[in-house]
Amino acid sequence: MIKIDNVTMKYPNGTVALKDVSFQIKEGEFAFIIGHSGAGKSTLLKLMLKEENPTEGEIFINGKNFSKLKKRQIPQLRRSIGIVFQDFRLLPDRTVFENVAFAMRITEASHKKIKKQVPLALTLVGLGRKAKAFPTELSGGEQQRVGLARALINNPALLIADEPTGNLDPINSAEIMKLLEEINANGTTVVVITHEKNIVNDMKKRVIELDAGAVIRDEEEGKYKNEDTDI
Amino acid sequence: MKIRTFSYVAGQGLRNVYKNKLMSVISMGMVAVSLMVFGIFFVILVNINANVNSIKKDYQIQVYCDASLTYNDPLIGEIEKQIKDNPNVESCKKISKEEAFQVLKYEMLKDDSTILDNMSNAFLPISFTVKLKNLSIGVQTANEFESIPNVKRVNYPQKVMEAINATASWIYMGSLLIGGILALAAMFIISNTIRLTVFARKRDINIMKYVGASNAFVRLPFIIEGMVMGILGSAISFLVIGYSYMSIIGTINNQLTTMGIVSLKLLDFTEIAAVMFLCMVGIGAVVGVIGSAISVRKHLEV
Repeated sequence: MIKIDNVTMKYPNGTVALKDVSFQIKEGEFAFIIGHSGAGKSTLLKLMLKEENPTEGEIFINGKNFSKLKKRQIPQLRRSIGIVFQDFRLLPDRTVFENVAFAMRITEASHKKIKKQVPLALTLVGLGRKAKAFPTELSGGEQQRVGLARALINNPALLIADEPTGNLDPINSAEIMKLLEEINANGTTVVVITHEKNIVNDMKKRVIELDAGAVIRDEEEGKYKNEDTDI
Repeated sequence: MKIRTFSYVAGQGLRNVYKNKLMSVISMGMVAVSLMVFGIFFVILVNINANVNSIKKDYQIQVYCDASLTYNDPLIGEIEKQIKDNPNVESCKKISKEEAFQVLKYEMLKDDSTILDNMSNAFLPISFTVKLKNLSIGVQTANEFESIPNVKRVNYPQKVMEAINATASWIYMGSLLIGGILALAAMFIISNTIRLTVFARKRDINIMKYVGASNAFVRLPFIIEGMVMGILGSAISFLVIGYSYMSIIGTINNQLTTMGIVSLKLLDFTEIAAVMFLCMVGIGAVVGVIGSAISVRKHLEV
């Protein structure tokens, strides 16, 4: 599903964000990528969305070699990946329905299909009755659910969540993680980038830890090493 | 892109015009002001052009025959045929000795016409008043007339013709240059105004790109928005110029008549309205499309 092969990323200003990073995430897996600020998590995300290209090494997602992808193929690639952001990134002037429908419209789905699928996705994340609301009328947890519904609407094989609970209280965080777990149980590969200790420790899933741009730990059912510190 | 997708994105563009009312009004105002300068220039240009053409059209050259030839002389018929056969001749009118005499007496000499009393018209030559199709080869045509047997003189004011042709060429070149500069200036202003709109929605563009929207999908609403603002702005400009023009046309034409300049007059607005509207709206739309395409381009690199 995801293969990061000896990837190094050096920015033009000389900063080395990733150093010879390699790991694989199999289809149907649930994995956390953790690390301090500046550990290289954001760079890794940018590479996985082909927003940046690695200086060295190769990246494969869904069997596609990123180095061989042309610019015009990037939208297609991103449609095959569901992505959830810490700051939700909803279109503020569109309703909940339209925000979720947007991800379908870019695939040129028919009105009929959109009308059928969007309410189903909203129901799945518990927002069946909020379709006509605007993002500003929702709580943080609800906005993140809209983000989740949008990420899932095209049935991606891979879901990447970047600090999905970073702006949420513990109750909402737990609910979002529960939803991610359910999504994973239905066969979707889920990768969560986070630095929240409790969530990682509670879930007991695979943990890939980055530090100073290198993978320093890759454990099945991993935990945070230092129980007293939030990384 | 499928039709339903296109209509959705186009709808988003129209919706944006309405939703961002303030920015839309500012952009339209900027377009209107920029194109107003263009419109004023257009009106001046069209009028100069029409008047130059009118002068050129009315310009005639005179071909004088040997004075010994009479009206029905076969040689006169031969001269007339050769003139009419010239491909650059639009029309040719034969002036009899008597007609020339009348013109001399009553139009040229007027109060001094008594000097012609008791004189016959025999000393005057038969002549031809010729209108040319293309004045730029007028000298050549005049020389051809001069070489016709029994033609005594051709009255062709070469310098006046050359001046008219040169003026017309300068007007065309100048109009292209100034029109181009004004269109570029308008495009720059619109591009910058739309850039503000685009910048305000930079985050939205970013989100769309992350979700997997193609560049066309993101760009098209902005382009439609720019086009609509360009069209509406230019329409406002057209209405303002049209109203102002109709308000002053009567006064200016009266002034010209009072000053004795009867050969010059401003065109009626109805004569130029259609072309002017199409030109302005066309330029407004093109400038709006290019301006917004330029503005949105740099934000698509996500």
